[in-house]
Amino acid sequence: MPPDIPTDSGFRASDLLSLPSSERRVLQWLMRQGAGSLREVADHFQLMDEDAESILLALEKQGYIFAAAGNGPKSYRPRFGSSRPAGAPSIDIWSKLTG
Amino acid sequence: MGKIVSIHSFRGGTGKSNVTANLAALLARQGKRVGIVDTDIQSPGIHVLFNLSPERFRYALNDYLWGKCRIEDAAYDVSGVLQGQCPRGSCLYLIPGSMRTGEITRILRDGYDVGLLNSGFQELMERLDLTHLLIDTHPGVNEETLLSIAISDVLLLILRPDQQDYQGTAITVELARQLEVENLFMLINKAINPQDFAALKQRVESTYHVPVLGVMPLSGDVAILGSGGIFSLVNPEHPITAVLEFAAQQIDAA
Ligand SMILES: Nc1ncnc2c1ncn2[C@@H]1O[C@H](COP(=O)(O)OP(=O)(O)O)[C@@H](O)[C@H]1O
Ligand SMILES: [Mg+2]
Repeated sequence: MPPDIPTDSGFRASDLLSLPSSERRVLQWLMRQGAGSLREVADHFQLMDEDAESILLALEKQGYIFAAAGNGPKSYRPRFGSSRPAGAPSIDIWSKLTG
Repeated sequence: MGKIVSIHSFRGGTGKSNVTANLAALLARQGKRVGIVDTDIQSPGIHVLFNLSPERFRYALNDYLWGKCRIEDAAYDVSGVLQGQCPRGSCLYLIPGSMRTGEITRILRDGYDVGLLNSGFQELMERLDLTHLLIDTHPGVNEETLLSIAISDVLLLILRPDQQDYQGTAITVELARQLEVENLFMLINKAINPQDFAALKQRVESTYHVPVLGVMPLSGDVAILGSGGIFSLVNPEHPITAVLEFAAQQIDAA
């Protein structure tokens, strides 16, 4: 098994598999939307503001999203890991599979 | 917003590129606005089915990933294959992978910005106003596949009636479930015994709990065409075409 490449910042698609589902869903949604505010996340997932905020904070802390600066409400964007050779997943996805 | 449809198989040679090209053409013929991205950067090939020769494309997906062009600059209008059978407003674009040896090996060596690939998909859908973006993926499990599964509205898994395909497909199904893909379908290709098709479909459905959109036989007619065209357009009355048309319909309805 090759050693994991350290993810200093940003996520790789395979990192999605090790996130709690609440965080993963928000991150996947941001991947599709490009960006989203706390309000939009809370509305889309029908979450209380506090819950949406804590999910966004958790993702931000892991370096998986960042808040784009600008006027108006903060807009969160996914932060993909920097360019790395194509191919094998960064984490041991096999251990993430239950089947 | 348009739908992202990924076409995947655990192993190579199952018919992904052929199925992708056919579904894309059938959707466009139904009036949809369709884009195809060849994300099989290591072994690109779907451009062949559209008779788009590498000399004719100035930019490929690779150029976009290296910041040399915008994604729409690498989108080629391939609606010519429809020979005029495309309703007003429909479209059919292909973003090919580079066929230059150096550009393929560079991707392997240096990788690319996955974020750029993701935003490329979104920009393409927006700028070309697509109803369907079809992603022809690299076989197996890798980062690009996981990305495309993670952002797909529809995932179509192609498999052959083969023990290796069965085992591999179980892994992909598991991944798709973990990433909560909304619409998961299967299509069986290269099946041998027509008497067994209904039972085969049922077996696969009850094994994976995924709807099988159809069973296509291993066919001399497909082999003879040899990716030299879009089968369903060349053979409109063929039983394989009926399967592909049904699959396109189900994907559109998803
Ligand atoms: N139903 C079929 N019967 C016979 N040959 C087929 C059939 N489907 C695909 N093929 C052939 O199999 C080969 C691989 O198909 P392709 O679409 O390139 O697969 P992939 O993209 O999964 O590698 C091609 O030569 C194609 O013509
Ligand atoms: Mg292919």
